[in-house]
Amino acid sequence: MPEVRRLLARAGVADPESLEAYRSLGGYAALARVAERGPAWVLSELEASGLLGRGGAAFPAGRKWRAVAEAAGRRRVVCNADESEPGTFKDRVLMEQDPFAVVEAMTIAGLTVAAEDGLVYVRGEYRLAAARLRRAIDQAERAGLLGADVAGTGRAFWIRVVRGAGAYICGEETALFNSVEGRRGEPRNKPPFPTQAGLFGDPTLVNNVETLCNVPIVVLEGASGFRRYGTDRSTGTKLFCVSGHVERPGLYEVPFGTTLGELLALAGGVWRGRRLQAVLCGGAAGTFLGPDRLDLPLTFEGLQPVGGTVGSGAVIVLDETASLWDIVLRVARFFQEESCGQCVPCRVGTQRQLEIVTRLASGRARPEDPQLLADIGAAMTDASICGLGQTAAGAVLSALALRPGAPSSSNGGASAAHGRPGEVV
Amino acid sequence: MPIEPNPPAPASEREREAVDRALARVGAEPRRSDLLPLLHAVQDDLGWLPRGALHHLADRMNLPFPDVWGVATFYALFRLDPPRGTILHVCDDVSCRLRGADVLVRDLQARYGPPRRFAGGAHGDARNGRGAAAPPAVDWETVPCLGRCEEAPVAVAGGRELGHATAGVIAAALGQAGGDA
Repeated sequence: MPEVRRLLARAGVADPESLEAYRSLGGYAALARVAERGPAWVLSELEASGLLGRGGAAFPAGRKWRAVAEAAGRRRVVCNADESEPGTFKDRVLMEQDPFAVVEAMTIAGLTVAAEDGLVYVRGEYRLAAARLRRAIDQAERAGLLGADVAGTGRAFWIRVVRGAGAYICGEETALFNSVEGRRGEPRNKPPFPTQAGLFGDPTLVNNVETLCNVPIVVLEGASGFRRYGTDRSTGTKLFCVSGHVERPGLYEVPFGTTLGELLALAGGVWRGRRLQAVLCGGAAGTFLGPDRLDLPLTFEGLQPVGGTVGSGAVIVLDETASLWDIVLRVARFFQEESCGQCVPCRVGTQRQLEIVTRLASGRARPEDPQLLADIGAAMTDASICGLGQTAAGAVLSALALRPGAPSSSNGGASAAHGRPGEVV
Repeated sequence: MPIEPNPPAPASEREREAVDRALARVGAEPRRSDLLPLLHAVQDDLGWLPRGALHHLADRMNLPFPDVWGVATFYALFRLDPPRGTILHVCDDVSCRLRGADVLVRDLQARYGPPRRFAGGAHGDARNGRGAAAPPAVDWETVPCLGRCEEAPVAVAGGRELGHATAGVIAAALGQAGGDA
């Protein structure tokens, strides 16, 4: 399937610091239509579009918007731009290259759910993205597209930018709320869900950057137009961040249903004519897929049966020379470092998982280690209060399924292949 | 979380001024939700978050010191001890590793001595070269994914983002950044 440019229509084309450039390429046409047709129309189109959240959890956007629109009291809109999943950079590109689209989409959300307060929580490391968003917000305010009277609707909507400070966990929506409120970024128990009691206890619509950027497309083309791309259950297009051992790492927009093999071909295939060993699909919170999965359609429904996930759209490619267990060890260490420590299964589980993977990666595995990993993984998945702990074992266990033998017996021994990635650079 | 807390000294004049300046920008009545932006502002000003400054900030915000300390220590980007030179962050996460971050980190170790911290575990032998003898002008550490994987391996030197980073690329950027944090 071919590469398409819908979410990326303006990226690299329009000056991201110019409202005029954005408008000349169709920007703010969606907001005008929303102002004309009203919130009920937006909600029904969004529901009919089948748009699913692009931050990893794939929750139906329309249902979330309606829940907030129907909630009582003061409402808020939050854009989750704390992109920190290893191997993921799509939201950074959207914010850096098309910041007005994020601002317009949030404004549409504000008008639709009748919120006046919007907030973008941008990953602390993304300085350029935060600066571009601030610039876009300033210009939109001066043009009357944001502020006390949005585009002549008589409705107010404001957006402020908050920078994170280096914590993967703050991408979890309730941890993000705590962080904004000036607390440690530790997740809250759910329920209550953010749509009921979110930021400052108010009903809150929280969407990922990419999810929001789909909304103007739904508004302009209608649900049926949006559904021209993708499959029945995975509608629209998806941004995939292809990195690692491919010829052309980068951001690729394809319709859902494109196969893994087709996506890798777009990125030039495995580099240096080498063979594929595995793909880490979905980042650290994702799963390893073997070369036998190249025909797999990249959809929510297609990946689920094989234990895979679209996740954040990270697609990290390992060629035949890569040390699989060195990578698995890095993933295990990532979770041990990034666990916020609040709940026991995750705090202890990620530590124990790291210890066992360290043994596996150095060829000192004990006979009981695979079972121990499975048990710890089950405990974390079942008992952790947030997605971090619930996904912390996915990549490790999928690697074990891919290479059931001890890593030292395959080409995956970390010590044997320690210098390899560097030798080929 | 720092192992050795910085000395519980009262805020210096400079630290108090930095905190007061940051507070003046958020308005008369700082709220708890101003804490994260305030910590960023103070660190941008001073290069780190001295304990005295945090005490002063807690007093001014009417918050218990442990609350402010708890937040400041939670986030990896907040520094709780003074930088030893230009700040250098080197990604050694999955995508960068596949593109040579291991070798890059070992080259940097040879040049600048051991890093403050390894996010992804130690990288082979630390062959300390010049870094061990001379006082390091670079305060470096390895960090998790920086979200620029299409240009792996990546680093941030003195605030400048560097794609396709090599020890040479980094040294050149550090040269331009000077010894200032």
